[in-house]
Amino acid sequence: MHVAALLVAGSANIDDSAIDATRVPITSYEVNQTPVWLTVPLVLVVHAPSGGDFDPELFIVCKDPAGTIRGTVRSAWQWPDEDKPSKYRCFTPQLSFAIETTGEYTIGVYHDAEALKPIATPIPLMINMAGARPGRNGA
Amino acid sequence: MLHVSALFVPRSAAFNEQGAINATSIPMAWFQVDQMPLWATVPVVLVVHAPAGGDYDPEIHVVCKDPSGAPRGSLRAAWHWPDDGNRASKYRCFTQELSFPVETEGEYTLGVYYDAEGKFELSTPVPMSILLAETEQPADDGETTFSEPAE
Repeated sequence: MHVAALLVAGSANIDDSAIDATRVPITSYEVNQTPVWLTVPLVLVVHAPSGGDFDPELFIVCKDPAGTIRGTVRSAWQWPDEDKPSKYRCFTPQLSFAIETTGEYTIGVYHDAEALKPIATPIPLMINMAGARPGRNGA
Repeated sequence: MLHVSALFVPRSAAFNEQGAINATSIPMAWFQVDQMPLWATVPVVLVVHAPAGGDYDPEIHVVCKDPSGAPRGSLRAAWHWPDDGNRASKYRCFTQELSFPVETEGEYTLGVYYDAEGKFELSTPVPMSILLAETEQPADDGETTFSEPAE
């Protein structure tokens, strides 16, 4: 199984197994205070060659700047082959996670809930304090 | 090290005023065409990111390969990529149309490579099946893009 797209979107709607998304990629959020609970819409598209991955499971995991897991979404599904060499599956989950500090968070797709076995390189998501000047690290 | 966050063919894609992308029908996993050979044109969305401190002048290529693995079309992206303020990472997104000849049915792939020939892979290519419609239809003169995909 491979990841074709992992993005934070402004909005993402799925209809008949295809996604309409706006404002991709969202690369940062501003928060007014910490701690705070943030929910972000994601676009996830995976594909795999036919002949395997019939009952896959994956975990979308958000980690804080220290690498601590702050939010997880699990997906498991039955994935029969189509009449083609490859198959696709797409998701538009809402990922919620706790923000206790500003900085660079990551969102990744993993084989395990502990986020030790990545399926693809995690994407960065910067969390800034609203009104903070560049260079002040959100302080 | 530059990473690919997304590579897909949507039905349509356009930049908004802020430089982000709005896209519909992600992903277009397959297309049906009325005739072959033809010259196909599809929109491509590519999003990459990299840690600050490197990749200041990257060059990458999106290459379409036919079912036999032969490169059939490519897009080149080369840009100056300064670090993004004090952020630990930087992003860049692209949307552009890719044209390539379709001479045979089967699974084509789109991939991001360091070279235009598609030899040095940056991430796993994404598949895109192209099928010939079963019912014979008259040729549409001047039409160079795909027909609507069958659901």
